Amino acid sequence: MWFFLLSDAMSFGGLLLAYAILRARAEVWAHPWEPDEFGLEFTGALTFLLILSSVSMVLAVYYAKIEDQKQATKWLALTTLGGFLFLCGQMQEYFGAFSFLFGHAGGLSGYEQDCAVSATKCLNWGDSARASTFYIVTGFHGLHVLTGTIYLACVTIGNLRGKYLEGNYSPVEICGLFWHFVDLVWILVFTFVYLIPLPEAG
Amino acid sequence: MAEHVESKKYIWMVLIALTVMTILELLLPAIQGMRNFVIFGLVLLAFAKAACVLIWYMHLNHETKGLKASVVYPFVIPFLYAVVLIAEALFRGGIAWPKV
Repeated sequence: MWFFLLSDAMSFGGLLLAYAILRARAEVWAHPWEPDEFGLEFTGALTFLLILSSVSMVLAVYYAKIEDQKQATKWLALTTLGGFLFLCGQMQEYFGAFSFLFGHAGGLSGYEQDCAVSATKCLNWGDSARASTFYIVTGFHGLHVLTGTIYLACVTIGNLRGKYLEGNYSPVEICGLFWHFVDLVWILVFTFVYLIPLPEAG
Repeated sequence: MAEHVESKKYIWMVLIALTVMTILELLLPAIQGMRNFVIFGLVLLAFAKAACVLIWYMHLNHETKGLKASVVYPFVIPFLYAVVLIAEALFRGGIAWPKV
């Protein structure tokens, strides 16, 4: 698993490098908090959710090691829920899929205002290098979250059936490695794509 | 069991550290002026958080020396590549930062 994660890290490294090169060479770029609908607090909450799910995964591995099947299943299920909620959050961010809960239109891909003035301030797919790199980097990570959530659901069911008892907790630990990696990558993506402002002019 | 209780403590310590760093990350961009300091601080916080997850949650500190080296050393290569690219850009007349 470590070597798979290492190769995966290289993929993310390549994407982030492409983002950095396009941004540094662009004549016009926007601050990460543009457009206003971006909702940095919302993405910050999603980041914290992923951190919490990492904690629940550590606890799941801990209880799997001491063969407390009930506790391990509980924490695995909570980690799966964390992944599912993160995906829902990303759907809200992209498409405003759960706008009825948040009381505004939401959905970056449908943001129209100011696009005529500066396409790069908007995040309509294909309108600017900024929009394309944003969706590719965060979407590639989203695919990892989706994979991880399915993986976690399978491991949770396996644990519920008692497949990881008698010292055979490695599948839970390996699944944990993948999930922590997803969290680790998001920490970097969140900073580089959502937080770092443009340097001072001049 | 005492050993397990002891070993669970670090989970909460790391969570507190990650939470504090995430809050700092969200507050830093609000600082007016000192933009370069903000950028440097954000990058530093991101790597500190990533290191916390890698060392304590992924238990890299418990792995063998060989595995640690296999995971860490490949990242020296892109770092050297970045240094060369930046040096080349400076040699060719500076880095063209985007207009704000």
